[in-house]
Amino acid sequence: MRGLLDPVPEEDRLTAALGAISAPHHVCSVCENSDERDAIAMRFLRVGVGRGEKCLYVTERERPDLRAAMQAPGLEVTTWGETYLQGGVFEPERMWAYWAQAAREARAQGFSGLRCIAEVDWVARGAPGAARWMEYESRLDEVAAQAGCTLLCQYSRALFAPWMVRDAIRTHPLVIYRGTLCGNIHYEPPEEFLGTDRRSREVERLLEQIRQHALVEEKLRRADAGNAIILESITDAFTAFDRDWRFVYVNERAVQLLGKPREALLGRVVWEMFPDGMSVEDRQVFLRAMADRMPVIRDVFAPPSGKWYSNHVYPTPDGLAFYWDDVTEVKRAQEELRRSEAYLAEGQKISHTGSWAWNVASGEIFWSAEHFRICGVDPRTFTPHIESWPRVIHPDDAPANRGIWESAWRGKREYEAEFRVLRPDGTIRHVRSLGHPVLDAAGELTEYVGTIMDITEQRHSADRLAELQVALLRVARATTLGELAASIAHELNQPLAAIATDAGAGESWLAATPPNIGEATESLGRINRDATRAGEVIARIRALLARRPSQKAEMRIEDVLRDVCLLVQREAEAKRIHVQVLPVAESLAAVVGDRVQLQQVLLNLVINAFDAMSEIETERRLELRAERYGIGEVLVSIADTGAGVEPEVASRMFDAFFTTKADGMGMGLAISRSIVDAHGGRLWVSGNDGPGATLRFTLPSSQRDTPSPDLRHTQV
Amino acid sequence: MKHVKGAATAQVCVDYCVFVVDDDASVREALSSLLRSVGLRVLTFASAGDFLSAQRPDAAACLVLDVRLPGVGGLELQRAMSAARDPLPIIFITGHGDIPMSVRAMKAGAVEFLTKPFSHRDLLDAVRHALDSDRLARRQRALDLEVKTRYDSLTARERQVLRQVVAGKLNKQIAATLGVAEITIKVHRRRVMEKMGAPTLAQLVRITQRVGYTEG
Repeated sequence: MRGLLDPVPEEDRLTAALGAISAPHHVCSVCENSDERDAIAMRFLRVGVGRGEKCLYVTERERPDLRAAMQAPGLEVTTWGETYLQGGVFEPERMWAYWAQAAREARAQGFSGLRCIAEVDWVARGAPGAARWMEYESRLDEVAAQAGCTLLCQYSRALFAPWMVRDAIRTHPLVIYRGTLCGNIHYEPPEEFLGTDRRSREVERLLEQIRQHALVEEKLRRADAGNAIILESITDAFTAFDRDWRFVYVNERAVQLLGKPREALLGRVVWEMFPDGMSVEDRQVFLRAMADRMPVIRDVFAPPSGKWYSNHVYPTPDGLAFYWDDVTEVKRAQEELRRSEAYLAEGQKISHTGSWAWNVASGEIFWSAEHFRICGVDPRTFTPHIESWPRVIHPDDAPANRGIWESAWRGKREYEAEFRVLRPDGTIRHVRSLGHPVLDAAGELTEYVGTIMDITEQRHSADRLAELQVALLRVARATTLGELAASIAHELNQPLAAIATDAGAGESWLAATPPNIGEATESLGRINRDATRAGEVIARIRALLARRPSQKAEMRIEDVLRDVCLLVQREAEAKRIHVQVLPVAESLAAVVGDRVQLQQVLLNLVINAFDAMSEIETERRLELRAERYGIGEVLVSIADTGAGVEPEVASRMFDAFFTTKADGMGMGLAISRSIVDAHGGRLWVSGNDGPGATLRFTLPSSQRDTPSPDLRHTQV
Repeated sequence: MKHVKGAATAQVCVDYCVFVVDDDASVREALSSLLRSVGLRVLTFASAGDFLSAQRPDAAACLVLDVRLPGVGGLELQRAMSAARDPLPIIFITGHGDIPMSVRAMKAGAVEFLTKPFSHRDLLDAVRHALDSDRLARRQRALDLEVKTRYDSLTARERQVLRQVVAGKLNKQIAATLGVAEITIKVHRRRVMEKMGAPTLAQLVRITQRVGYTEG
């Protein structure tokens, strides 16, 4: 659009116009000064050189500057004395013959024709023979045509009298004036110009010119209408503005979109008609386009209609041309797409799932942003490719994954693999990748599309859960063991009671008069049997205990506290008890013990504390704390806000079968104490300053973290 | 079982029986042997149900009861007997017992609460104590029954005379109160003394007061 609408530089237009008319022709230029004259001469020559014509320049005297400037092969410069004024006087017949002869010679030399530029100042100066000049010019058109010679006669306005310029106009069918090559409507053919019936011929010519002019105008109107039809038929809206932003042209589509009749728009200033039609920022852009004469392409939102318009704006000589259209649907679709892409990206981020696609032919791989994030690589520095992407896989997992990958794509099958990603920063992520083969109509594999999911957290929590389940099972078994111990105690008690009683019976039978030996023997027999039975019970306990030897290991007591908290979390919530593990110093030494047994001790103490708080209506709080205690010991405290412990109960509460609970067996604390004792620690109870009681026990810490011998020595 | 009906000095025969309820056969056998060795009759049962459905001999008796029993437990059996006004003394034996359990058992009338394994002497002492108390209780109950039977055999006039006599009234006063001749009162008085089995006035007063028929 720009090429047609922009003003074409003057010189280019003239060159084009001269190039468009075919040789031979006869043209004059009417120049204001010598610069203009030379500029026209240069363009006239250039066209001739381009056509392979012999060029001749006729001037008063030799002009080397011109020859240098033109650099035209075959350019010949000659003077008035050798041409018009040969022999001192101008004779038209001699010059007509000269042109015919020169043109013939040029063709003989291989040129396509002859082109001549002539300065004719000598005519104005009144050289001999000048009176016949206009007669010569009038007939020259015909001569040039016959000779095949193109002629440019250059008239300086400053030198020629107006009537002479008028006659020059009348005698040239083409006139160059102010840079424009004009078809000359004032041209008079030689019969008219030179004839005796000049007036009547002139009338005839004028009338014919008027008629021709009318026909041309009509043709132009029709051409305009054609342009308008084009503008009306395009699907874009088209609006032209003058430099004051008045509507100059509005096509049908624009009328439709603007919602106002054409008559209401034309001549009105757009900003007054539509003051809120666009944002201030958008308006500034268009105002600048008008001022800077620069094309602009811009999408604009129109608040009143809620629509988006795409605008292509071009400067025109008189203002701006707007090609625009309603792109609301497109915008909406783009927005929709952008949003769904954003949602997808967000969804990928939340679900730790990236997506990928592998173009089998090119080897190129597309990764979503989340995929890059999971792999810890930068999209700007890492280009995923079938060759490059395995580099993100942990070296230990890479061979196995390559096997899965290759067998999947060779068989055009689903790809599913779990592997570790080794990020450049050294961290490891566990991922699961799934891929689906895409086949073309011929069944050939074209693409794989798939997902990658970061399952590190899942994996960790699954591991942790499994660990806890095992721990729970072990604790449950250990707890069962405690109950079993009570049951075993009962089982042992029965034969012991029978033995004691039978011993008494036997004694009694023997003390009778006379002694009843038979009954006494039976008592002894039963004692024997019951002792055996008791032995069997003990053997069973041994067998049970043998299955779970005490397993001493180093551990952080804080971990055990947290294990137990996890186990009782649900119950604590149900009982509205706030359980808290107070921060444990990083420097706290590890303890040595059987983790399961220590869990059991803590579990016993915590459950006891829960029970102690069951009747409490005020705050129910349980604090677990671990700290350094003396040298080489760790102190664990379990403080509750429960009913507290009466002094007489405190002295007996660690005895076996001592319980204050209706459904208790009195084994928990006894077992706990025996476990702590077995670990080389102590378990005791003390009241709190506030409500409740605190159970405390100590455990030996690992040797490694006890103070060095030297330090110990100084402390002693 | 020896009953001496109508004897003036009704004497319950010294016949003792000990019931043992324990689910452990060894304990049952050992207890049976121990108790038999001191001359006691022993009946053993494996459960509370067996004991309740058994026919009990009419003898001074006591129950040696294990707290922990399959089905109906020892304490439950004690509650059921108490509800049925069964006065049989109970000695509890238990593998493990706590304070509230023993307090509950003793309050409900248990004689003793022994923790296994117990000394056989402790058990025998407890059993002897229980049997003695049951024997006494049985004798009281027998006496009460005899007095009631004798009293029931009195006529309405004889009961009126008895009330006046034990209230310390003279025959003349009684005759005036009842509006009969003094000689008639003397006859009634002799009949009452005979029927009630009281050779002296002092004995008549004691028997009558003991069973509380004075206000009759």
